[in-house]
Amino acid sequence: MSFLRTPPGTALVSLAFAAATVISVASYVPQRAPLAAPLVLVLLAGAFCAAAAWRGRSLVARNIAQPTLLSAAVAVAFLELVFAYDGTRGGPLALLSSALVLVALDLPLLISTYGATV
Amino acid sequence: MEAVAQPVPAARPAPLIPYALLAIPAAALSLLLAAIFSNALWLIDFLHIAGGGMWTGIDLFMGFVIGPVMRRLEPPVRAAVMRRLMPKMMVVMPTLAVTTMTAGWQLARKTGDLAATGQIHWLLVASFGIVAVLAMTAFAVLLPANVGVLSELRKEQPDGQRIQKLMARYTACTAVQGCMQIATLIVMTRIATL
Repeated sequence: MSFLRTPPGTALVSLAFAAATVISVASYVPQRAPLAAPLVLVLLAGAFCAAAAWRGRSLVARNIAQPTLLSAAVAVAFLELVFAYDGTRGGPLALLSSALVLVALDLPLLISTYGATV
Repeated sequence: MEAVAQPVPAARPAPLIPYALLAIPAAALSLLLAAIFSNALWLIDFLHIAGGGMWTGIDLFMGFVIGPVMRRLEPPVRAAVMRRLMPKMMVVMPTLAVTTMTAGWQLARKTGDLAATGQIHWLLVASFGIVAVLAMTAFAVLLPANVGVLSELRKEQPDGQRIQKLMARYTACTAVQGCMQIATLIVMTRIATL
């Protein structure tokens, strides 16, 4: 449990909620997913991401965070591209996009603060 | 006239990943973009199967072949191998993961499997869950351990105990990855034969 209280652990919890958001919306495609549960999940992901950023603000190793952010952004952009290209629109796309942005922020937070806490 | 010694600027540390290696994701992701925008079913299928096969194969090979071999090597030899292996793994594995997932989504969409009901639908949802567990273990343990080991090895006096601790986590995590990869193989072959 102690790892989950560290900045990378908090970012990991956020990542788990963001992944659950993506799965809960994507599992309904091409039908429209009910949005209540994914909305709660993405809000939780956002809260944990903010907490991880606050807890890890002085621990972030910039030489690791910057390339990780870039590579995470590229990976997330591809997933966003296929969702949009395949016709996902409106609320589901907004939730997917929010969750993917959180994934792209969580990964550098997790990886760049890991060295200072482990 | 007296010569004045000029201060020598500090050398910039080498990047964690050599820039030349970035040609691999650039090529793979360009091909992926071409496949998506050309709607070429064969190319999408190829990228999903080739990417997934390599992702699974490399994961299992690293976990069950390279891992045990590395544990028996002398620490300096192990450090030398890791210093050369880690940068390549940090580039190749995320590239394979993105290519496989993106092409797989497109493939399921184009073949109509995404809109299917019943067993295929639940197998696909199971595959999303498996990929999430794979990604979480990779990003929570494997990648940070890679970065940690690599950063430590670049120091003048690497902390051997820290490297061992990180590598122990890495090895334990490869077992989870191996199980998830076998589960992926079961789910994917089941979908293909339904």
